[in-house]
Amino acid sequence: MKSSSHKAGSQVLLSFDIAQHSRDEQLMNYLVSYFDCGKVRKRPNKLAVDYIVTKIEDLTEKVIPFFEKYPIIGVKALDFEDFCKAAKLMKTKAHLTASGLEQTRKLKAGMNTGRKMSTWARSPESNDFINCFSFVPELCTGKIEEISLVLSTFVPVRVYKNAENHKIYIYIYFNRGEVLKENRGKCGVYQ
Amino acid sequence: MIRAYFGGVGGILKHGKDSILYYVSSFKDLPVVIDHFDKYPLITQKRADFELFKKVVDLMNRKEHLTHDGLTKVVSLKASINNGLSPKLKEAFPETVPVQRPIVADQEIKDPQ
Repeated sequence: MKSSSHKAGSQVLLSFDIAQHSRDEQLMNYLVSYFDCGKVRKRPNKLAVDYIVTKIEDLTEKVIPFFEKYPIIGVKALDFEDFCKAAKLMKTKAHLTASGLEQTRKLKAGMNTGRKMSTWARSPESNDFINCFSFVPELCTGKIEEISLVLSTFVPVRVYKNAENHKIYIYIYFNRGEVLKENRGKCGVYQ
Repeated sequence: MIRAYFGGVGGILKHGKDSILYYVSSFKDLPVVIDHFDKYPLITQKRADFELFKKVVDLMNRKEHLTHDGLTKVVSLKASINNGLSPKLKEAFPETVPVQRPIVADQEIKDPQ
């Protein structure tokens, strides 16, 4: 899923893309009839084809309802949330105002390839997705506060607190009920 | 999560900077994964890789991979699976004729549930 907001004058473009190897061109063409919208474009190098939906009505009435019905279970679920927010801004024409445009730009900057690995924790307090920053090991006191499941489809995290009371989430993997590894590189500080 | 879904078979490895890898390599655990993909077939051409993969498992089930002919068959299958043979395998089996990949056609999206 991709969204792009271009700053040509003040143009905002939102698009839903699927890319596949050109060997699956037939299947990609089928998506046009399945979603009843969008088009298929061959890349200039002919190695890959893209299925693209850009019309805002198609996005809000066809694509988004599909993913609401069949939720994404990977970390891409977060990109979908941001995508919906951007679609809403565009649907209400809020993106035409300066503050709406700024909001759209912020969404864009933090989603897809702009998303840090550490930004996918869900706050145990509010159940909202929280924005984490890159993990700084020195900030971690090593004191385990709790182990909680931050995102139902993901591995549990350990929550540490540092001296400034920032919460630090550390993702851990389990192997037959035992803690196998702590992945200290992919965690974040929640302020 | 995926590992739990498959009943705890397989393992998880760190795979590059920002990725982790779920794998199942134990021969006795493979049916768990195969059953899943039989029940929920892939709709892209990757399905062909899966079909060839199953053929290798069949050969191994019948212990044919222990014979010279059987091993040749396995390598011919592998030559058409995913990225084909590694340089090392190519060197070891230079005579390999890759099997033909099945074409996945007329796919449809069933109820994604």
